[in-house]
Amino acid sequence: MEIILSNRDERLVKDAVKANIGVSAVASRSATHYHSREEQELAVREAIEKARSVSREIPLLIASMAGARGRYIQEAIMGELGIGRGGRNRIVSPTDWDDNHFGDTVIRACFKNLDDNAGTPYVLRMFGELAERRVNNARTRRYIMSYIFDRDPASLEFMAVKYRSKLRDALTHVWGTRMTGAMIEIISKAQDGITDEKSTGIEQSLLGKYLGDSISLVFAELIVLLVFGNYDFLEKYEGGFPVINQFFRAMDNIDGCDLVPEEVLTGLLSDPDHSQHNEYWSTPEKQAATLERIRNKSKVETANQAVRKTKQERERGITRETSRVSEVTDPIALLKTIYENGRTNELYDRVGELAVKASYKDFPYKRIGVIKDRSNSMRGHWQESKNTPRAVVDFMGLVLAQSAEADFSFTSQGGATDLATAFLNLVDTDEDGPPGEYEAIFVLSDGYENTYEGLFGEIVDTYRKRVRDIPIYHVSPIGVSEANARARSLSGAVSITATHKTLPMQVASHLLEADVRKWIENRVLALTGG
Amino acid sequence: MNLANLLRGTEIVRDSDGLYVVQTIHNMAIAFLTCDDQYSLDDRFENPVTALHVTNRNYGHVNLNNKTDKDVIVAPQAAFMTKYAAQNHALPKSAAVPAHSNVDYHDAGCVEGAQGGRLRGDTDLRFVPLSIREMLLQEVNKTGSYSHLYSSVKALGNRTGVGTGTYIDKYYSHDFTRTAGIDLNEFIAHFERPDKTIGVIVLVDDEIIAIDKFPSFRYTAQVWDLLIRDCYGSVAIEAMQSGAPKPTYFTKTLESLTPVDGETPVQLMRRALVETRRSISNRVYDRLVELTTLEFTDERDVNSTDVYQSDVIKSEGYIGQVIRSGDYVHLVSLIKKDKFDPTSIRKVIAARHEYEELAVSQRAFSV
Repeated sequence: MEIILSNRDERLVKDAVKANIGVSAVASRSATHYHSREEQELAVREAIEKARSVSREIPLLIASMAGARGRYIQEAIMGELGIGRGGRNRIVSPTDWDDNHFGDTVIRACFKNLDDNAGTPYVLRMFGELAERRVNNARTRRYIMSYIFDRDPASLEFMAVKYRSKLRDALTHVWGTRMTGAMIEIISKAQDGITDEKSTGIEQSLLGKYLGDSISLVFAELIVLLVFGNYDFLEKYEGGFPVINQFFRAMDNIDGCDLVPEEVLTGLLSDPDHSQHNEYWSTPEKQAATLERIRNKSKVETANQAVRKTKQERERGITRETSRVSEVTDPIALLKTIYENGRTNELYDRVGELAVKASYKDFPYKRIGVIKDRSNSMRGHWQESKNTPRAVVDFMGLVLAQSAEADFSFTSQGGATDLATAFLNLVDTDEDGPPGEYEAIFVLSDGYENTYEGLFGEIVDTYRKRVRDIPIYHVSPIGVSEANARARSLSGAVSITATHKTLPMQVASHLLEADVRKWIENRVLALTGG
Repeated sequence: MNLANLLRGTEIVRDSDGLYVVQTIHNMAIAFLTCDDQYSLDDRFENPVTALHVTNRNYGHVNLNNKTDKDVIVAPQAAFMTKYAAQNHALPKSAAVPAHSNVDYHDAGCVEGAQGGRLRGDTDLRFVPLSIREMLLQEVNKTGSYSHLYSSVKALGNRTGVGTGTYIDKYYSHDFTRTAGIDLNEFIAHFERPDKTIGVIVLVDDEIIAIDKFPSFRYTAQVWDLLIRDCYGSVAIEAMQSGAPKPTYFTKTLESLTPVDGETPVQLMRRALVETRRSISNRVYDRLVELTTLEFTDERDVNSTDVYQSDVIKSEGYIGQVIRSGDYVHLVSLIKKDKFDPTSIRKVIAARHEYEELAVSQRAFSV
């Protein structure tokens, strides 16, 4: 893979990348205090278009990075799919991008990033927007169908039950209204064993060729029938598909359907024609009681939800087994449970596993110093729920320790926030020898320094003048609502202020400033696995 | 009565090096009082912010009804604010209301200008800003006039740049973020209450302007956020609006130090940091020593009872209130008078010290 960026274009590309890194970290579809939803969307789209006009690869290279927000990734993907071939390539050659499929690799990385970090609803909503924008070229169809049908069967079954209408819209968009009707007829007849060569060919070209290795054509047909509301054939498959079978049963009686998502059950009950509508859903009181019963019995409750309930239930004298710890994906939930209920090896090991998973794969620093704020304000905060800042800081510390060789220093507990002493403890030579030469220092703190305010900035400025210059990253565990990423700055002396979610992007931005060519090479390497 | 009596049983919170823990934002600093556990009467008093049912029969009067099983001591100078159209009132003093009883206060004052309407019991408690607590304390025991607190509210508006007139709710609802770039929520977040805090010593420009001591650790936690926002926040707002620069004690201290042989730059910085902390702690210590020389006169509060004696205390430069049961002090509220210049105390102390040294150096008379 050759980087074709010329010296002349470097500045242009650097500015475009830097601007988009900032946008990608804050992009949101939600209205804020100062901007309507439409204004927000337009701002993101314009930024991406501007970057794409400089060089086509830019928005996608950024959208493939951890830390890019869901809205940005969606717009970057949709923009690329909308233009098809063509566009200016200043970073990699058009041959590599199109013919050698590097563009494809990057788009798939963006899809994965969107799915992993924002979730299935974001991806499916994007398909809906592609339909609204009438983007329906071969590439788009391929990505949509692969996303739906190239996955494990259990995941597809669950998705089909929970997101029936979104999948229906996506397939209708991909096939077109006329061919959708034809497909349903072909598949329905196939259930009765009626096929012919032409039908088989159509089915293969519109469905079969997109199936992953673990998805059979029979199963895919069943999914299609399910999302298009053809339930007649579901009885044939009793026993094989537990979620679908329960869904089918829930259309008449929701009792015992503990594998079906809550939203699906309540959706069924809200239909006045449902046999249990009057009994379970016709008044607000009945709705509340039904919801509580569904939630108590549901096995669909995530492991994350289960681990957070242990405290409430312990207070009520209920012993709940935390057998699903290995399924928990929310490290903050685990840490808060540890603080409140006590540490077990199982809980802490799982936190460690998640830290390994979250570690920065292309972290540019090998040796870092980390200052962790353990003051009282981290335990309770007017902006975040109890212990959340503390949990975020602890987890960030673990992630950084997995990403680089890290030394730690702590503020003292209980009294006040004294980052200055913690900084000097980190960089001081002690009797055992000189400290490692840190390439960067990360300060994990909510930014409220009080002994005294401004002291940390003085210390850092003095250190930079008298010892050496070093990038200082202030990572705040507080998510500020407006702009969603602008954390309270600790001091003008820090290089970058970020939240834990925007840190990867902010580190990237800082490194970009130093060497854009190196940044691009690192991105390309990360994507090609080289 | 002096500071040693008033703050009996308490001490200043210190760090592991024995220095006072002092938190500083802009030119405002707070040191913290603590005590042994047995002197924190956590279970004796109900939450003052939520416990009381406040009504009145006429303007200038409030009735505090405590329907709970515990006594309530209202923290210094509370304002009772309504969400409906009514005449909000403030109390110029702290108050002690025993369990299952109600107490009338006839030296309350209106703080809502020309607004009519009685208090019906569903009021929110707010604290009177520190800037005008002195003015309110001067009005303790003055009955027969509902409007005697209006001048305080107007003064508050003038000092903070909020057009309150005689409507104190305009101050509470004012958006300082928009008009002055000051976020009061952030201000609250800056000051962290150490564990086992039972009171605070508040300094501005290195002068003690307030000392508040509360009945217990829990009580302090219950009033903390509101106290910082409503009461001390007013002082910070004035300071930030004045554009006072942030302190740079460390840099100045570092410049005054001479490196010793073999000392690395970081070691020199560490020495400067320790010295900075020591000087901050010493400044608070010196100010407290000055205050210990003051003697207070006391004037009995009309709402004093056999169990809870309440007195307004005055000295040169300071005014306040103490609520106690015999020699046991529950609550102290001490405010520096606005016009008082503490350098006069320093001159007295310096002179006294000089004469003491002279006296010590004198030989005894001998024939």
